Amino acid sequence: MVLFKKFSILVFLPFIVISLIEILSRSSFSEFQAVFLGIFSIGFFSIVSLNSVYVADYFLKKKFSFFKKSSLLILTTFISVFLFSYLLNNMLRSSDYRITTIFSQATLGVCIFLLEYLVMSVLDKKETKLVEFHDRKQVYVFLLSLIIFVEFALFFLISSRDASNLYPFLMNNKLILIYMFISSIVSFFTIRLLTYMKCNTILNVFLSSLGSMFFSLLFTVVLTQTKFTLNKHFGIYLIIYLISLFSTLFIYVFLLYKMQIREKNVLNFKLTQKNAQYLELKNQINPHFLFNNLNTLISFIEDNPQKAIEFGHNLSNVYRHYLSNHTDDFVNLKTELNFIKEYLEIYKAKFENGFTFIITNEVDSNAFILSVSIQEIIDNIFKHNCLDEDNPLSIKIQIEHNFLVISNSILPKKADFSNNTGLDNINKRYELLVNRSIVINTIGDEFIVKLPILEIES
Amino acid sequence: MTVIIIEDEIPAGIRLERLLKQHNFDVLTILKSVKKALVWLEENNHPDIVFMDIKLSDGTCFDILNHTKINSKIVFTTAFDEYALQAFNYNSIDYLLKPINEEKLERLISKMDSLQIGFQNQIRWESFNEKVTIESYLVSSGTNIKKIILDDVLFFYSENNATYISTKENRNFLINKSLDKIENETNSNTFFRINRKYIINKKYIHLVKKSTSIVLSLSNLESDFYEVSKSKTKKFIEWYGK
Repeated sequence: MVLFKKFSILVFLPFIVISLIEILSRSSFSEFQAVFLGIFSIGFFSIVSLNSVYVADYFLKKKFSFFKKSSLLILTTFISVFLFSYLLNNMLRSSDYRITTIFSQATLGVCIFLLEYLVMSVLDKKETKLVEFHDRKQVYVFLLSLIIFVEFALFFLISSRDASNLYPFLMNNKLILIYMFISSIVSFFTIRLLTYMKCNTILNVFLSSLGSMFFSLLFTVVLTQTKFTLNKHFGIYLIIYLISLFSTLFIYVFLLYKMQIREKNVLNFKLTQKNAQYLELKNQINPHFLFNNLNTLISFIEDNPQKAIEFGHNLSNVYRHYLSNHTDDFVNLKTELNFIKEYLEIYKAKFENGFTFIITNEVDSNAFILSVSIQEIIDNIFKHNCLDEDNPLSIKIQIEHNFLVISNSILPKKADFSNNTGLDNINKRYELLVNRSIVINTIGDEFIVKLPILEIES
Repeated sequence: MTVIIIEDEIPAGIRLERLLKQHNFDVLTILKSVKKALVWLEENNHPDIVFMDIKLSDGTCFDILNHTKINSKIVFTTAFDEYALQAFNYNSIDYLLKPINEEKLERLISKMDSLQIGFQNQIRWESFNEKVTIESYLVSSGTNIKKIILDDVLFFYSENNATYISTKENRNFLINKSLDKIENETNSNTFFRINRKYIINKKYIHLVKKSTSIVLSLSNLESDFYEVSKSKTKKFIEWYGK
């Protein structure tokens, strides 16, 4: 029912507006024109709205990527408007239409579809937040140039016939071009001003587009010293307002989009933090690890006091490490490898010839890595492989081309089941924090994990 | 060489005594509290070296150092005192971590001659129980990491439950710390929490205005004003005047 409500509003509201404009701006009206216009605008808006309400709803429920969804939606809109326009023109006006007209109508359809879609998604959002201006200046300059380009391209597509007319077209429409240029800039600053005054979305877009139209018109008139008469055709105001509205919406959508991305990043970031902190805490209080090792320590005291001392030192250093970098994302690779060595020494004391390990010494003191990641991988290795003295497990930690390569021979435990959550979590953290991926590989009977080594930017 | 050990845990004291005896030191006594240590140091000639644990049953070893001048070389022993360790490293003072590693003890003994004697005149021992402030943060930047020196930070702010660093180049970086934590570990002479959302750097305060409340602007963002919350006004004026 909600969908139907949206649909009817989106069809009838523009229809009424267009009819009013047409009635106001035309003095004489032929019956044929009125019927054609009526059928055309009703049909046009129903098709576009059908796309932006029902088809969009259908596609959004599918698990496609964002890119696939949006291109499919735009394509269906384009094709349906194109077909509609083609059929209608064929039926009613048989001869005097051109393919470019249909093409431009379909393009217009896509634009209106995007606009409707935006308005609905803004209306659907329950809490509206103010947009922010956090990006670098270049981003906004790029945005404004893009708007001017798109506006011009659309304008050209809708009104012009073919590309060879580009130059005269430019010359004939200088005024519009200047207006586009000014309106995009003015829109940007009115949005900024209104955001500063804490206007919410709808009011902001409405006022900005109006303000942008008013000031841009004023600037254009003053700058080009055109004689301006108020009693011009009403349609020209509509076009001018549409240009301003387009610029405003474009900028606003961009800002909303940026804001959404930022919020998403923040959430993901927090999530990885929680993950890492959880691992850290888990290590700190891991009772299994603590009591098993105390047990080992006691047995060493009885039959090998010297070993008990070494073991005790390793154990205390490992715990000291757990307690030291609690919340840092990035840890020094050298320190981390020293810790891993001690961590492995604890296992070595317990399983003796069950496994062997090599850790590289050639570490740059400027190299960093994500906290807890190496230990998580080592834990993973011990979790999934047998420690057999006749066929010892071998673990190697080396550096190759800016990757820390951790490899082990594969000696799987019987009935072992792994869903790789540990490695997935490390990968997720790498992707979110530094936009890099870890590499997981099986070559022959070796299992290899490569972690990107991070460096401090100068 | 003569040595005394100030240590409240009996087995730890015995172990250190044994290790030192193995290296031909003459351990005069093991003292278990601040009180006993002060009395002993009053009545006896000071030894060549004093090994002292930081946390004692009735206080810390810094209480001893504040009350009496010790004419001996001093080596601290500690199990886990984050702040003190940072301070030792910062002042390059020698210490041993418990459990005491024999190799490290030997290394320390071998360079015994270079150890300082006394040193209470140069050092404020009270500060050893305080944190050492952080000077830089590591943040992610593109596909690598970036070190942000606190001197280049305009302010820290929180938004939608996340914390950001804003630098003097006007770039913002996400950071994995709460404002409370940052407030805690940065130098309180330079950084001030003006309200729930902002910690600002004194170095970049450009203008302070007082109307109904205090507002201030940071040098290269003159259009933006930051309001000092009412409850912090008094503290802010005190801090700003320092």
